[in-house]
Amino acid sequence: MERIYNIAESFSATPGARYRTDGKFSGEEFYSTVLKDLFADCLKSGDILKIILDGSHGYATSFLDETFGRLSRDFGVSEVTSNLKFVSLEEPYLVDEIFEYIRNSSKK
Amino acid sequence: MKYLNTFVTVVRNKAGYFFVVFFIGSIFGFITTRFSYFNFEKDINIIDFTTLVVSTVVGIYIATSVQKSVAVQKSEKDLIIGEINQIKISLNTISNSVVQNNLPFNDTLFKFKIIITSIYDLQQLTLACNINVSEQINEVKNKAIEIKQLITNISPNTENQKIDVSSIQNRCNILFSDLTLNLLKLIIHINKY
Repeated sequence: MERIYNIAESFSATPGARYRTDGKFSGEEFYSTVLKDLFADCLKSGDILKIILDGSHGYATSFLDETFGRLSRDFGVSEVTSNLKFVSLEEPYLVDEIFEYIRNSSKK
Repeated sequence: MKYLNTFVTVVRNKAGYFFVVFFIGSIFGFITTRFSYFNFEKDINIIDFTTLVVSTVVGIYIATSVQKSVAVQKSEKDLIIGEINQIKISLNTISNSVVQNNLPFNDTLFKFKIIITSIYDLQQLTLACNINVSEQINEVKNKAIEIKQLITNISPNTENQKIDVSSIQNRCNILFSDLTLNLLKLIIHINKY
């Protein structure tokens, strides 16, 4: 089963930068207040987490790298790539970009 | 005056135009056969006449359909080039902001989103018009994404929420210059169609 999370609707339409110190709606804030627990819950229940990227004012590289790179470091590349999906109709390239951060996270 | 207006209305209508030309041609034919120095054969050769009629019809058909096709192609190219120019203008705005090191974080992110989604739309537009410039558009798209990733990987200043690009300004300028060149190459390719 899939569980859907829309970042623009449920977190912020103007996602920020990397760290909380950079400003509001940072990648660090999104990860620690939403994504980590949501993903852990999905893993427990066997659901696939589908994240909708559309509808925002744009995503900074630092936000995506911090959020999904950290997810990959905490849960493992294999777990994340197997249980995470994205919908990005407005900017299709974001999906490949995020999976690159997920795969490269172990090198950090 | 009324008859003049009626005449002008008839002439403006394409069917009326052909009738008027046919009528003038007939009058000319009558005059040349009656009062001309040269003698004209009064026998009609059926084969020649048929050839004349068919050639005329084919000529008119080709002129109208080819003319229409050329006009449609030109308007499609103009539309696409107009979209490319809009993308160039938006990119120049960011480029100028980089030179001035004045990049508000949220505003810059949004501008990049608009630019990149416009490039995706451009790709769809060229496919719809059967203009194959996918390779050139992909080069433009990849370069724009590269610039966006470079700039938005830098955290904004906490106080004014602006991105300080002083450490990457030279790199950005080179990338913007490459991108402008790619856009111009794209326009050149489109004009070749």
